[in-house]
Formats: sequence, C-alpha cells, structure tokens
Amino acid sequence: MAEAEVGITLQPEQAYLELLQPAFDDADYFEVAPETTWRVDRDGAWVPNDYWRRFLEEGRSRGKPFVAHAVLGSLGTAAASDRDRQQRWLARLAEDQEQFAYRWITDHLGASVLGEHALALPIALPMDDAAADLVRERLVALQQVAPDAGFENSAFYFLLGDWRDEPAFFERILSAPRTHLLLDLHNVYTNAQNLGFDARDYLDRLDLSRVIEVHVSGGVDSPPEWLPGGATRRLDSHDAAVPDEVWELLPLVLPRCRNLRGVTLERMEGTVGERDVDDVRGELRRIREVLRATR
Amino acid sequence: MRRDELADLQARLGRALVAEDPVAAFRALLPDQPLDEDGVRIAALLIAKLRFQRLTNGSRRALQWFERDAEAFTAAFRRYHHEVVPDALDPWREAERFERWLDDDAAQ
Repeated sequence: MAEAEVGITLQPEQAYLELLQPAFDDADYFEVAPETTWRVDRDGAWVPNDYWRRFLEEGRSRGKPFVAHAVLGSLGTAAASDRDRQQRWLARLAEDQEQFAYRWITDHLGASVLGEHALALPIALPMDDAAADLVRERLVALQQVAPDAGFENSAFYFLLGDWRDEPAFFERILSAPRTHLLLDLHNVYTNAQNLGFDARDYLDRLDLSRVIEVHVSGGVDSPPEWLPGGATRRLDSHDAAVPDEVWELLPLVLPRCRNLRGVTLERMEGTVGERDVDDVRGELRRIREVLRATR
Repeated sequence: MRRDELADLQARLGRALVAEDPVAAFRALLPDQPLDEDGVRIAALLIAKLRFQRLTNGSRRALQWFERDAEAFTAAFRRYHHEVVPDALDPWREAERFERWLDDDAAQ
C-alpha cells in the first residue's frame, strides 16, 4: 500500500494565504483549483493572474508539490457548442502543467454547462452508458496534461436516477487505465443527508481501489428562509470545521483505498479568521494521525 | 440515450434551472420522473447565488449598486438572471453581460 500524504487547498485570498502560513508548513502538498489562478485577457483568453505566481511561490519556497482540482471542466457536458471552450481549458491547463507539475488532475462529476447555460454548479448526469462514455473520454483527454486524471463524487441536490446506481456508474466511467476517483467524504455526507440514505451503506457499495485522493471538509445547512416551510438542506460550502460525521467516515474508508496518494483538507476563502488557524492545523494533524493509524 | 439526446436533455435542464419557477419547469420537462422539489429549488438558488457572486466580483458598478441599495440591486439582478442566458463562467464576462443588459434596459 503506497504511503499517502496530507494536503491543503490554496485559495485566492490574501488573508487566507497569510493566516494559514503555519498550516502550509504542516501539509505535504498543495491543492489548487487552476481556474482561480487565471483571468481573462482582452482577447478572451485565459492567462495567469496574480495568484498563479503566488501559489507557485508557496510551493517552490517549501519544496512542496501540487495537485489540481479543477472547477470548470464540466466533464459531463454533451453539447458540441462547448467543445471549443473545453479545448481552451485543456490548453490552459497544459501550459500551467509546465510550471505546477500537477501530480494528478481532477474535476467534479456532473455538468456545469448545460447547453448554452453556464451554471457553474455541477448538475447530476443520467447514469447511463452515454454519460459514462462521455466522462471517460474527457478524463482520457485530461490525461494529455497529467497521466493520472479523475473525477470527484459531487454533491448533487437532486439526482436523475437512484443513488444506488452511482457505484456502478462510477465503475463504467473509470474503465480506462490511470483514471481515478476523488472521494469527497463531505459530499457523501451531504448527499446522504439531502437524498435520504446511509453514508456507510453508500460507501460499502463503492470500489475504493480506484480512489487516488480523499477530501475532507465542512459545510452548513441552508438558511431556513430558502425553502418553503423552513426546510433546510446540507450545503457543500467548505466554510466550517470538518464535522464529526465526516471524521467518523475517514478511518472506515482509508484501509480500503489501497491506491490512495493523498488526503486533502478543503477550506473556502473568506472563511478563515485568526481564531481558525489553530483549528485548521489541528485538522491537518488529525488527518495525519488517522492515516498512520489505519494504513 | 444517445449523446445528442443527452445534449438535448441537458439544454432543457439548463433552461429549467434558471426559470422563474424551476419546479414547475422540471415537472413539465420530466413528468414521469420522481421530483425532489426542494433539491431542485436549492440547486436553482445556488446557481443564482454563484452568478450573483461572479457579477459582484467582476463589476465594480454592480458591487457599488448592491452596497448602496441592496433591495433595488437584488430586484434588478433577479430580472437579469431570468432574462439573460447565463453563458459566462468568469466574472469579467458576466460583468459585460450585465452592464450591456442594464444599458439596453435603460434605453427602453
């Protein structure tokens, strides 16, 4: 079983980057959403922004590697009209790869571009062969940039099918070599809460030998004024401490993730104050302790 | 389902998720599918929230309007969200779309 490392997300916010300097020393690698290091120039091309250089310096100054967790790949978009954008996205990633040398690249399962609608939120796919073939082809294309490519189990607020069909759908997608699952435990917990299933039951059904990375993070419930009758849903918002329910899942899955390379703590920009720094460092230490105890 | 059928379904889902009543739009689109109404509502709200964030990150004019008069800005944004197809994934393009829509709206 390969030794897995501990990572933390870099976010495009000055305060986040300054406050969490001690936590960056605690981590083994940095996870970057490449799109947060880009801006659009006058010709409409993606070019590096100020955080591109800043993130690179955070890694280089500490001798720590990067992994990429993209947000705009929209791996499940079927519209031919999105192909040009997808090609430009891949080309920008390839340019970044020359500097960041991402060890692996993942994006979210689902489609955030639906026809001509760019929604930015991953929407669930029908769990059939057409969708599985499409995502697999996109992962294979992503392997032109980094040999190891994968998708994250997304937090979906509704499904186009039954949650019990997801494990087999994942297996159909991941039939190409060196394609992987990024197992986001907060998303499993969120979906279990919102869609009404047991997280452990769901995890029992997944083939965890394809997991390259695990995410742990926190979230909150939606405000009661959002839904009729004051109902709430769990949000995948990465804006709070990792909840106990997610910590309880971590030691359950790690022994089954025999090809795991990293466990990453995710935290959103704008959610870290001075009083949170020790807690974030404690979460990184806890991940390392669970890794040592279970592998 | 063939890929072109998947593309067609996704295009219709995209329209439903920015409709004024996304639950009704979903019911019309997928009448035989069990519908998680609150799940659709939350997804539609998050899509609007993400667009709102893109816009206020990309447009100083929009941000200043929001800070000056949140109620009026929110009402304008709601109209914009339903009237203008969200085809921009980055703040700068979203800002361009919004400012063009504002100018057109004022001209009318």
